[in-house]
Amino acid sequence: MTGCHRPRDHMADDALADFESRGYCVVAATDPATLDRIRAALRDLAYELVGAPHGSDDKVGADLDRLHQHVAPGEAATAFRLTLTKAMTERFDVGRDVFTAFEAPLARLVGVDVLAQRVPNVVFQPPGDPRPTELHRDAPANSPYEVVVWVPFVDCSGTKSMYLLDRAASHEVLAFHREHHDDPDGFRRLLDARAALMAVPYGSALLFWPGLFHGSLVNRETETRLSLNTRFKHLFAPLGMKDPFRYFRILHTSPLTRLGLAFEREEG
Amino acid sequence: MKAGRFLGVLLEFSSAVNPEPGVQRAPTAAEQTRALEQLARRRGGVLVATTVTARHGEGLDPSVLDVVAAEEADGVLLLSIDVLRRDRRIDVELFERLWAATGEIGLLIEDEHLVSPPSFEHYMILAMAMNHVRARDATQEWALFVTDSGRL
Repeated sequence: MTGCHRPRDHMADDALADFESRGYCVVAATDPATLDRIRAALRDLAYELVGAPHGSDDKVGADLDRLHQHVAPGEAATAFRLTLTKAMTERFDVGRDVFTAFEAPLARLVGVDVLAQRVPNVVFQPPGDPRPTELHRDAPANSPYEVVVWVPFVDCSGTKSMYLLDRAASHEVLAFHREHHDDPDGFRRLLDARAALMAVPYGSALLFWPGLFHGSLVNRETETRLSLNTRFKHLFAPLGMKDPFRYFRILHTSPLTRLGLAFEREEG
Repeated sequence: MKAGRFLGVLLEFSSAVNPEPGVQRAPTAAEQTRALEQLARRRGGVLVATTVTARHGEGLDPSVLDVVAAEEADGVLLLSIDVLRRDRRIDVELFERLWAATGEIGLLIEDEHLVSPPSFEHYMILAMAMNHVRARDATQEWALFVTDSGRL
């Protein structure tokens, strides 16, 4: 028997059915060892940057939960996040590792010819930080043929997490805004009623469609949120406004795609 | 080891103001040259005295290959892959000929440096695929859809 036929993954089937109907799903890592490796590397790097000692290998999550104790809020927190993002990108192939960690569901969504966002976004949200992410959606501007992968490196729930409006709710608030654009209070009430804070434990990722409205609140919990978000799309899927050469890089291509393009070069 | 001699290729933007989303003004030729000189130094080489300029959306004239030969350049530093872009299409044929002539191509804005055949082949796949995608996405309706930022 060759390796070409795989048994159906019923858990992935259910998650992807949710993805299609609601626009999002929470999936467990199919390669948790890779996720653990990214998290440990991120913990080591973060503590190296703040110049503080970190705990032992079994304290990675706890170290990240209390990272805010070593970084002042405000501008210093922003500078830290940018430095951490740059260092992560230079030292590790984060996009490839995230795809590997969640490859089973991601490959079912985007296929095997895959573009990955060149620089994943690292989000550091210490308790009380007054600058959460405003309500927005990625598409249009980003292509609606992308998948957003939101990976928490700590257990996230309540205001330590992010909120999302599912497909129906996103459609509803958009329709309300178009019909009542002079009623910000009504819009806010509807948003508060429909937005759901996502519970995403470490070891899982939230996969969501870029047409969903989302954002975050001031983190009122006692622990830091450290998370990463990045995007994947099929190599030949329609583009949004982002310049593909600056925003994406090729992660995987199939032998068939490589043969087809080679044929075009040789005989075209 | 001989220091690499790089030919710099600049881009004349079609508009000096807001040349693309999020960019307030286009970099001048002098600014582009300085940036490419710095890139050449980071790669352990120098920029040759002559630079070549491509007009935005019109692509690069194939005579750039004559300049590569005359300057004995052993690498080409492009401000952006857009110097090779004619309308929506990257001139992959000229891209391939530049590679064959030098074996080293740097892309400043895209932060790519192609120095090995696999790295070039990998980037070529992206360029060819994006040519297909852009040709297919070229309808006015799609452009309006993805640029409509007034949806909320």
